Amino acid sequence: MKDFVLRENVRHSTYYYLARLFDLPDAFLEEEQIPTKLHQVLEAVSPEAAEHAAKLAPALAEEGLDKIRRDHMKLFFGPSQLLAPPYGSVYLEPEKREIMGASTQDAQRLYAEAGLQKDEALKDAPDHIRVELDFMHVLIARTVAACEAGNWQEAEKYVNIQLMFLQNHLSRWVTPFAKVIRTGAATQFYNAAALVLESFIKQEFLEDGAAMLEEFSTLRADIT
Amino acid sequence: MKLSRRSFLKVSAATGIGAAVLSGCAGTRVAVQDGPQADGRPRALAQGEWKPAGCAGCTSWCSKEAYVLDGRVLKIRGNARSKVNGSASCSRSHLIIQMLYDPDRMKQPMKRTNPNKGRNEDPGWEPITWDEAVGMLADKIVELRENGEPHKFATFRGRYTNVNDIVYSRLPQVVGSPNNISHSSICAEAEKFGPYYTQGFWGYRDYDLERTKFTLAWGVDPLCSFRQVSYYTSAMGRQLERGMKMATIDPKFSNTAAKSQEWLPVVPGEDDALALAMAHEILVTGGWSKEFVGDFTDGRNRFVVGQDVPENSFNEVHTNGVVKWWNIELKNRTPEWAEPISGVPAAQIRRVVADMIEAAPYVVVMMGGGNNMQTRGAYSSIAVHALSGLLGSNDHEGGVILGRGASLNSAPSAGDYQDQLAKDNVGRQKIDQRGYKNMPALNSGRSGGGVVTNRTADAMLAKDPYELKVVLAYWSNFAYSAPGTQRWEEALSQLDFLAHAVPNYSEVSHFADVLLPSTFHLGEQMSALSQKGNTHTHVWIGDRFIEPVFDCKNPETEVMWMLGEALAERGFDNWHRYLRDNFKDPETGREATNPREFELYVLKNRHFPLWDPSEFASRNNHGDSFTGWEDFLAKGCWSSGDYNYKGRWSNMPTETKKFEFYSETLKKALQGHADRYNISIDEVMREANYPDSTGEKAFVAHYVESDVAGDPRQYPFYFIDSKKILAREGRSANTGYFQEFSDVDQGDIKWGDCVKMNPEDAARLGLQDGEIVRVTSPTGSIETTLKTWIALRPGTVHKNFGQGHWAFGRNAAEVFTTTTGQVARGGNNNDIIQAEFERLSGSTVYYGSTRVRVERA
Repeated sequence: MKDFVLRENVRHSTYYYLARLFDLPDAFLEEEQIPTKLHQVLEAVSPEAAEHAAKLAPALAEEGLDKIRRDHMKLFFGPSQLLAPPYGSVYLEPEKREIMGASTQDAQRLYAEAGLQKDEALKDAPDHIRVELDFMHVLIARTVAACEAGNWQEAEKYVNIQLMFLQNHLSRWVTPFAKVIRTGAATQFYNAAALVLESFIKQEFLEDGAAMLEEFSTLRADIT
Repeated sequence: MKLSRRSFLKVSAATGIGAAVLSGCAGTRVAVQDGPQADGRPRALAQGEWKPAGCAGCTSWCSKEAYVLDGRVLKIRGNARSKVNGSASCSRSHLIIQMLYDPDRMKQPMKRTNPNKGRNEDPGWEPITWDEAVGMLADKIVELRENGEPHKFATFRGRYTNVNDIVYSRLPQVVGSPNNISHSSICAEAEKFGPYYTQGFWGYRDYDLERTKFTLAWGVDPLCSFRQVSYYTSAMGRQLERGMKMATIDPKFSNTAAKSQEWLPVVPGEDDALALAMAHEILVTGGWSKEFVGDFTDGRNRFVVGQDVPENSFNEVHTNGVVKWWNIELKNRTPEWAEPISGVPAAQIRRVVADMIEAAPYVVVMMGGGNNMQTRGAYSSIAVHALSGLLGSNDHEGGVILGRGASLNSAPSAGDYQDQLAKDNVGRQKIDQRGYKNMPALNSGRSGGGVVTNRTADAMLAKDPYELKVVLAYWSNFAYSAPGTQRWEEALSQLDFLAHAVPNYSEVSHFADVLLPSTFHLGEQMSALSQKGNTHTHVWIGDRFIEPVFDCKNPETEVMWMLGEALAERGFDNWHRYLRDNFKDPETGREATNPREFELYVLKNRHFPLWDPSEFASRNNHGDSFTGWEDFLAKGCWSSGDYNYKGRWSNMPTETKKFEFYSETLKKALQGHADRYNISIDEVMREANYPDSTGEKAFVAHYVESDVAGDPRQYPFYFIDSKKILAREGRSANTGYFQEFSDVDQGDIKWGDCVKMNPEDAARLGLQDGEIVRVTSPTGSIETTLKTWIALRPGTVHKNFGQGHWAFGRNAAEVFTTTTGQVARGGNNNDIIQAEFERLSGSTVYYGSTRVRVERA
């Protein structure tokens, strides 16, 4: 149990720090040492992602917050043509290029199944990359809490939502999303962020998610 | 199962991570929160709900319903309660969904950080809060007032809703400025000129299509743009099946022309010759309405080519001056005279007139802007509208009618909230130079009575009558939608402060100091509009039924309330008091305490005479009635009672109370303008670019030589501008549907833009279909694709308006950055149309007024 919890806490933290790369960049990036911490957790998870994450802090120092902030706006915020719209629906329903599409509603249904929703104070679409990453972040915390409380049925539900969300959402759009970021980015910071995101989610989907399920199942069988 | 990566996540490695790292993610930045627990199962499509709403995509202003499931709009349809459009819904309306859910919409307020303004200057946008954004505008207004120059403030209005009076009229009044500049004169003012100076009505007409036997569509394509497109696309086919005849006068083969028995491809700018020949033909053949116009005392038709008629030989009934018109102008305006000028064969003119006479008075003469938003189009507006008078179809069943509106509440007077500074400045000359000696702009008979939208750019550049310093522009984009766009770019570059409130960043936004992302009119805010059609008027209302995805606010209501508070914080509380005192909940008397309550109370007050049963009765309203506010909101549409035909006969608000072929009303208006400058009416006509329209001709529809920019030797083609079916007034080009279905306009191409040319002309110039050409006028130049198109008079080229955005979004522009290197998708017609005016009405000209040359790019 202890090892499982520790591993899940690392995943939980990784999603959080990763999500922060897609917030509007501000002083918090340095003050809260987001790139450094992301690198630290990824070192325990994925050497490939960690290698890319290692470039974040130097890029932040070298390129400076102003340049990174301008790049963020061009990529994700506007008002000029969005080079990398940060919304799942744009990639999952490319023929329409709309926000709030059917895929967004599916994401919202999964949030609701976990008793969660997009933060109401955040005036943006519910399938914004940072919302989806934060959803995983909170969902993992709930999984851990349920396990620790011995609430295995609830924990299983959260585990299944994690896997479903990875399979139907994040894993299905981070690759084209990372590609347009890398094409449009004027900074090493977002170039690296795209690579970190893509490699981490790829590993989550292909390996760590399944491994987590197996570990969870074993743990549950052992305890109950 | 091999847990390779999982096993790689060694506990030892994980334990090496400091506790601070693992606990450092408990911050407040997490973008999810607890929410209601749900089973996660998708809801069936049938579980959604149709919500009343409306469309503001053009001036049809149709009553709609939106199908909403899980807080998302999925479908649009007509609101069957409307007696105007019923369940009909034009193709444009469906683009609402993609406009609502456009990922390129502005997401939160932003401020400019680069003080230099220009197309190639990066504004350096920085996201800010709403309080900061509105505070910036408030600071600027306060600064103007402290400097004793509140008149240097203006609001610019484009599209709007029923409650626009607050931001458009009352805000400048309370601040102390005369300046509220609407888009009206880039829309339809010359079109309103004819109806006003014949029957005293400055506004949109209605047409009794269901009862008519003949429709003459003049300079208008009601199956594409114009008003009530939803209704016409539904009703015209039905009427044609019933035997209605239709003729279309348009230099291009329009959608309506394609459905007409007769297409009269008039030479651009020469509509008046054609209309006068038609009037002549009606009179010489004895085809005028004896009931409406009257008859010769002895019944013998003295309207003989070339012969004067004694005025006392004719007994006029409900009209004024038919014989004068004949003697002054019409007697020699035969179809043969008109043929070489208008390009329409005399035989065709006679054939169409004969059909109209046969159908009269069940004739709809439907006039758009095509024949009158020309440099000298005012008299064409009169001539075309006068045909309905001659045929007795004016205010007659099956003819041209005016509609029957609702009595609503206007925004209360702001007089008590104006301080001395405001009172001293609000009466100044408006910035757009309306009423200048060379710009009579005779809206409703008053010198300078109407807006001259496109003159504002010139006035700003010339600082004449003064410098404009602070502008709040909302739902408008004059640097794209008004001809001579370059002038707007220059004028806006020099403007001290511009706040732009729109849903999508657009050309004007690029010159703004602060961007105020706006709600979309459907579902994201409360909206209401009224419009007429199908002999009825409707007022639709739509509630908020979806939460805006981004941080958007309604500039007509929410932003006004916030501005009131911001100004009050800065020591000027008049605006806040005006809003608070005058827009209380009419049911409870409660004052608004926040922006959304204010919006609700504004909408309730505006429509109080419709939804409150006792007020409905005391205001003599008619048509649908409601049990109260909730009932009105739930149904979402009021439709008027039946139209009272002939109610205006000899009861028109003209000088003579009659329908004026000889316009005493225009004579009085021109005299008023002449008196203002102590000049003669003849001098007024010369100043207004009608040098030959002197003497008695000034008071009747008469032939005026067209004034087209460009020497024909250098610019051999007439340029024909029209609107794309899906353009939604230039705002929808960022939707995929607009681009993918761009070819619903005959001859146009998908995901692109084109200028169309008759194949004979293209062959003569050695140009190939599909190649890129440069289209150049004396005003400017654009590059676009050439399409050869048989349904176009040789010597003309035609291009639809709707593309050519260089700032809007991913689909609208080929490349749009806020720095440099923007690439428009095709060309904007307004880059090449000259910035001229029909000066009697103040209308901007779009049609029959510009020549171009076309060359291989």
